[in-house]
Amino acid sequence: MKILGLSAHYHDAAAALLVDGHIVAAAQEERFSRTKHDAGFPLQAAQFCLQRGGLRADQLDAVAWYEKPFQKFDRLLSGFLQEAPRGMGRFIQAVPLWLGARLWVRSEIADLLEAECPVYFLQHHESHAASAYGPSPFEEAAVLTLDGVGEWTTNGLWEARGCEVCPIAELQYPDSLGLLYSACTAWCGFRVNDGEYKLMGLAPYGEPRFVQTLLDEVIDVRSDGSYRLNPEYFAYRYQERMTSPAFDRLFGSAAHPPGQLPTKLQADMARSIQAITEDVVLKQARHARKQTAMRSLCMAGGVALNCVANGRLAREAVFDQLWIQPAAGDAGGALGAAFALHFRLERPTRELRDHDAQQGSLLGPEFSEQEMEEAIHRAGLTYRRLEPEQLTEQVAASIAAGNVVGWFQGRMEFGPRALGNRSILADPRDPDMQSRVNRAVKFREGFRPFAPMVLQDRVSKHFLLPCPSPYMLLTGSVIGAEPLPDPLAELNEARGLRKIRSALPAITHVDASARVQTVAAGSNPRIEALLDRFEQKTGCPVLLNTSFNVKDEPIVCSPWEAIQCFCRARIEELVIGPFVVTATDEDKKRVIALPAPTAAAQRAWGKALLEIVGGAVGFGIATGFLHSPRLGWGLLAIAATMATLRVILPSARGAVDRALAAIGKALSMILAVPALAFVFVAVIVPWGVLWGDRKRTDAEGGSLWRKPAQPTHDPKQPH
Amino acid sequence: MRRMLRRWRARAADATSLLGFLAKRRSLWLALLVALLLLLTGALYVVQTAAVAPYVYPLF
Repeated sequence: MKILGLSAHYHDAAAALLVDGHIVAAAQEERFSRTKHDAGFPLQAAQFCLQRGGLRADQLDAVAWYEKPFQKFDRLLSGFLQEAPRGMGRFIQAVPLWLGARLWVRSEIADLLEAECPVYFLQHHESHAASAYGPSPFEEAAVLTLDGVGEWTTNGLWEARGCEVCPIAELQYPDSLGLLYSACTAWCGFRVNDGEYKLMGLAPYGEPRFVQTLLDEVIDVRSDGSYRLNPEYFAYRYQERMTSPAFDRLFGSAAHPPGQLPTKLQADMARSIQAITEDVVLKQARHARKQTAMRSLCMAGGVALNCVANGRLAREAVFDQLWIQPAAGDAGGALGAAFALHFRLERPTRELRDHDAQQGSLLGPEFSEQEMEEAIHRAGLTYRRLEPEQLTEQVAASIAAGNVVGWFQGRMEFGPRALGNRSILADPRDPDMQSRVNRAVKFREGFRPFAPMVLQDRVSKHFLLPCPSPYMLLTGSVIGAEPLPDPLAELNEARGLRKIRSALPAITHVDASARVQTVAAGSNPRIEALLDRFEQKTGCPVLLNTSFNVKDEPIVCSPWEAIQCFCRARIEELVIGPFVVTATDEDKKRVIALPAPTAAAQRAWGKALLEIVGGAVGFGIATGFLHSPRLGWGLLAIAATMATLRVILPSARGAVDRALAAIGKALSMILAVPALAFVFVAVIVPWGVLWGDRKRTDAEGGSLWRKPAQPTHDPKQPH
Repeated sequence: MRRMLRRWRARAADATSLLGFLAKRRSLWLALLVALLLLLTGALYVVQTAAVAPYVYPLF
């Protein structure tokens, strides 16, 4: 059975193709659209998956959507009623999005993807649970799902056996560990759904001095890991901001301005919320073990990307085995939806496997040697083609000599981590490397650590890691490293973390930890050979591995994007497939100025321009009618001319359509704002104030886990 | 034509599902509220669609 899984509309839209239970392809839309965390319909990702599977959309047996949109809309409206009269701004902002596209998923799929097959709707956390259990090597496992929020569920405990993934217990919105972490992320000046890993990296610089305040006032954590948030401190139910003024008062400061360097206050908050997160995850894992009596644990959901908490969970050995979905966020929901539907419709038998089915998460596009060479030719850069042995020798020598190397090989990774196919590699022994790569290569905050990749059979020489970490999802201690006595002093040190006392200073964080990626024999032969050769040269089987991108850009997907990134960042050498590319500063400046070669990029520019023009015309029409009929009629005449052009000039149809759509969009927005404000004041506020359900059931001291509200559902329905 | 049919078939399926969802909801207020919002959106959708649908170009 050929199932296409899709996730979209919030952040990290993605597509995944599953054929008879085998993952054929998976990719995030951001890699194609070049918009970080792209939430739009994952058309390009879906087209790639179909192309990789040699399929047309009409050959699919089913499309699996990763959540139930109607339930989510229901939650949204219930929230507005509960919070009324607050929340008008958010209501006006959110309702058009929902009524415009988010409720009409089947239509969107039929229209954009042109698929004829049935569309199925899985629950958000069911998708997460299946994304973790489906590719895992276990025949049965407990599953923990932790994220911001799905339909109503924010945190789920599941029991998976054979092809059954059954919910046992859940916590519901607005109680959400993911939203609490995101709220603290926003309060510390980082972007929600983007800066959470920065907060995690910031944590070791601080003191956990807010833990008790958080536990007393903000989050009530029970012994089984269930919890409740105090809504007084959060504004996300009725505003775009995450925390309320009460939160600011509690911690004696307003939210840190975005873009400014963090201070002790933010570091202390980061450390405190990280400690609470670890505590909750550990307690929940112990509860899961007790409830299911299973030996293996799978995890997914955005919180499962917290590799510090994961590392602690692995060290505490609550479960014998642990497997975490590498694309644990919403992108992985696409894969999970496909797996959940596969389990439901095909009822496969399941056996214990030696390896997981995630294929190293190397599930994205790959490019031919010819495509790589064409891109290099187009850039006009100097290059050499080397045989595999020579290439490995050359790159190992270059890294050992202190160069930073862009490494582009094979299939792109699925998920947020670069695992050795779209990576920037450097020597971890160099004390200046952390600062250099942060500032000159990635253009990012100096406090952020880098991750090491190490040969699996050498890991115990350098790291204390309780189990393999092939997807860079666990932290461990660096052997022989000492934590900095006063890390705060180094927080915004311009020279980076040169004081770290470790044999591998570039990948050792201030608390002597590292987010390790272990490379098992046969898992990625090219990177394995490189690590091996680097060890032969230097005695060190470890490389610094960071994603091949610069700050605020998605990881590179194509050879051209790799070349562009190579030229923008201070990378000395670029390796694309068998080609070693070098460039002078002049060459790099010239390449940066070259236009993007893809038709898609040119179309994007054209579209943006047309939307601006169309929007201006639409706005003009509306204001013209209000203030100056002559101007209004003039602008309407322009729109009519565009429509006529469309009829008499078929080649201009696409462009005119987009401009007219933009006019319609602008007009509808102008009309929508007062209309929605009226609906809010006339309907939501009186209804909410009079009958809105504001009561919360209390369970003093006991468990807050509740039975799943919807343990079974009809996947054919979006509710 | 086939594309348009597919699109409208899908939209009809979405609308049917939405009606089914509203019917299942015990709270009348929510159904009423959604109905009101849908009416509003219908009007907005017409404006938006009119801009791109070939058969209403005479409107311009």
